[in-house]
Amino acid sequence: MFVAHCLLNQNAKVAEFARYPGVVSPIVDLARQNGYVVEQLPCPEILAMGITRWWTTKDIYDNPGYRRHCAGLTKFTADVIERYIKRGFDVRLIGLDGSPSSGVRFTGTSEPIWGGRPQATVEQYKIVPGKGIWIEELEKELQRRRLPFPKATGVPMDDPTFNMKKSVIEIDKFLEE
Amino acid sequence: MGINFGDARSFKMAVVADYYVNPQSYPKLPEVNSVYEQLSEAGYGIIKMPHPTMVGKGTEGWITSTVDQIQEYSNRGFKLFVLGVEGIAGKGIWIEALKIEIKKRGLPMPESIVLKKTQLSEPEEALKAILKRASS
Repeated sequence: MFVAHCLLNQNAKVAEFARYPGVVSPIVDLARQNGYVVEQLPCPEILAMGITRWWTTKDIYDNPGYRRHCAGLTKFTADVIERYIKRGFDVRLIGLDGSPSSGVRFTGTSEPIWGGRPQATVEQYKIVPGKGIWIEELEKELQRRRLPFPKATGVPMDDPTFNMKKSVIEIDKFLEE
Repeated sequence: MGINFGDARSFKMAVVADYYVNPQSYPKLPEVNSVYEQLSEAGYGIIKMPHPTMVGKGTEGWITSTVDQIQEYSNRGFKLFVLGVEGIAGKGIWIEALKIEIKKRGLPMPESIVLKKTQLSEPEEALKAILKRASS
């Protein structure tokens, strides 16, 4: 099971978005209890903009430089995914829904689009269907290697209406599929 | 110092060998250990190195990105330690390569602990002291 970086380390989150001190144990424990090997994906945001980064949307990250940064990280990440696939593992992925980078089913945009002079409220951040930039680039790298994109879902922790109980039920179902 | 994060984060992390999260992948080491549970319960974030035989040519990328995180978090006052395991090449964390990269950047090496095989079945005592020190 490849999990979004911040599911094992909430310290990587952008300010105000860490919901747990460190490990998001309700999710990670579930994967471990179901016998999954847990591998951690890199967090492209902390590796590019650091821990004091501004709130950002997919629209802002959708630029050649950030995509190139993510594509660079996909090389060594896909090496690991490839090995698990080739050794016959049932490879899956749990992303961070609502994240501009690590979203699988949902990502985030703003209305109006953020950018320029910082000025933002949490209400302006809109959760919309789609993958984040990092997951899109990872998908491209796996396609380039002619590898299947893993069966994937996300934990919507960047959604202001996030409910862990609901998410645990969803992930439990996903693990049993 | 720094910004107000205003959330639940602990500002504490451990860079750990894959073994501690996935002991079932290591037939030569104890099948169960409580390191993951202890770190998780103590509120530590985990930066996990990949399984040593699953990395292939990508080692350098993992080393660089791990040291990038060590550098960034240390610069911002977050607490971080490194936890390897005896009995796996590079202690499961490519410890020599990490040290070289850290030295190259002129950074102090974070506190590093390598648990011996004999400590793995009952790592509580060793870890208690470490967790206390690292969070002080």
